[in-house]
Amino acid sequence: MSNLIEEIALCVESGKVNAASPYPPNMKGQPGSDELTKQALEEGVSPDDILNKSLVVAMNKVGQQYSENKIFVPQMLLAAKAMAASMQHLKPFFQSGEVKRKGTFIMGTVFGDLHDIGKNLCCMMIEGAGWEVIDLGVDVQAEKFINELNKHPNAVVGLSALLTTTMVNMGVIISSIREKYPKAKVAVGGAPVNLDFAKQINADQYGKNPQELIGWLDKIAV
Amino acid sequence: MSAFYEFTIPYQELAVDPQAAAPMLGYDSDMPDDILTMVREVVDETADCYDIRGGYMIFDSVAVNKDDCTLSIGGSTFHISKIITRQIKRSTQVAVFICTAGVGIEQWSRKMLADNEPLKGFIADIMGGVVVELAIDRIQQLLGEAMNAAGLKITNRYSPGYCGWHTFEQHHLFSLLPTTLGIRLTESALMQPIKSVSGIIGIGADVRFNPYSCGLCDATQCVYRNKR
Repeated sequence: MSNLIEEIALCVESGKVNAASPYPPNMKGQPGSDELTKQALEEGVSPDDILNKSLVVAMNKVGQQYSENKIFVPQMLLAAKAMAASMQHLKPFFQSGEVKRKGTFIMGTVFGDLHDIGKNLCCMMIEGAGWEVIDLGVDVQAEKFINELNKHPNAVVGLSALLTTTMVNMGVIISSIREKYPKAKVAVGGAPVNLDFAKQINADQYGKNPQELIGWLDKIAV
Repeated sequence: MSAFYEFTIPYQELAVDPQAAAPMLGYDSDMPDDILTMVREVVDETADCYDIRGGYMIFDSVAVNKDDCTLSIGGSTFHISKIITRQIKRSTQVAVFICTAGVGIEQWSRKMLADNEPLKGFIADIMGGVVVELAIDRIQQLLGEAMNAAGLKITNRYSPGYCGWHTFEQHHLFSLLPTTLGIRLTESALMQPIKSVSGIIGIGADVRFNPYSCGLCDATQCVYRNKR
């Protein structure tokens, strides 16, 4: 069983999705995270172990390697794809409550901004780190974040923006959120955002890259 | 004020180089072969997604105010920042341009993301940006040739949202044109399709083109900043 846990982790780390996927070339024809997760569940491996001992561990390694420039965006995305293939098999266990996640993360691109690629990638990494991610999409007003916080009062909020002209809307959203949820934790990120700006708008965290954000999330989840 | 010169650019004419995706994928130099193969696949698969159109209109009556860094053309005044003012202050005419790669590439990218193909989706998003920049490069080149024939030169192109020029003024820019080629502006002045560009190019006998325009801008962390 522990072999399967390790094999799934290796597949995620290497971006090996299934037997049909040609990447990585040195694992061609071998089963990927998709088949191995299915097999593990059939053999009685606990879904919680698959999540926490395989997927989270593998994605953590991937994020670490990315933040150290040892791998690049493509490898990270291929890992995220392999992770998502595994996650598909775990979904029923999330729904039944058999597998608990670390917390809920509500993410959206701020109003006025339509850019979502960076946000989407970030969402994938955070999900891979064991969080439930609620993606509100793009051009999101403060009310929508607050509505979602009403359903998940302990959730952490993530705001994304790609333009200097729209990142100012992060401050507006944070103020609105704090009026109703003074203790709500909010993280910000995006190409033009930096630590100084994050402090200026009273964000709790600036995520320079997904891994930094995950590190902070894991700390506050404890 | 000239007519609006409109161009439809066949995708095949742009000679899109898959290696152009390398910097946005994080590579300082060329991509490794396995990743390059995937980029090539996306480039091939998306070739039919594009509907590339663009154009420009030339305004003759130009007033650049160096004190308050404004440009007045066609009855509209733009607050173009010190950086852009410096570059276009000697212009005697200004071309207003727009260009789009169409909505197809954006839709393809979103579909890939939804289908758990994040890398393909990301590559398509990057290449959509590459394509629209190549297209406007081509249109700018055609403008340059037309102006050269008249003994004039052109500046670099400058767009709302860059070099301190507020995106919101894109509304005024679009209002100067008789057509926007299907490009719509959101209330916050972002263009849809997303893979679209707009802006101005200075024209005159005494203007110059700067081969490295990113060096003029103070947004040192800009995701689109080119390294020399």
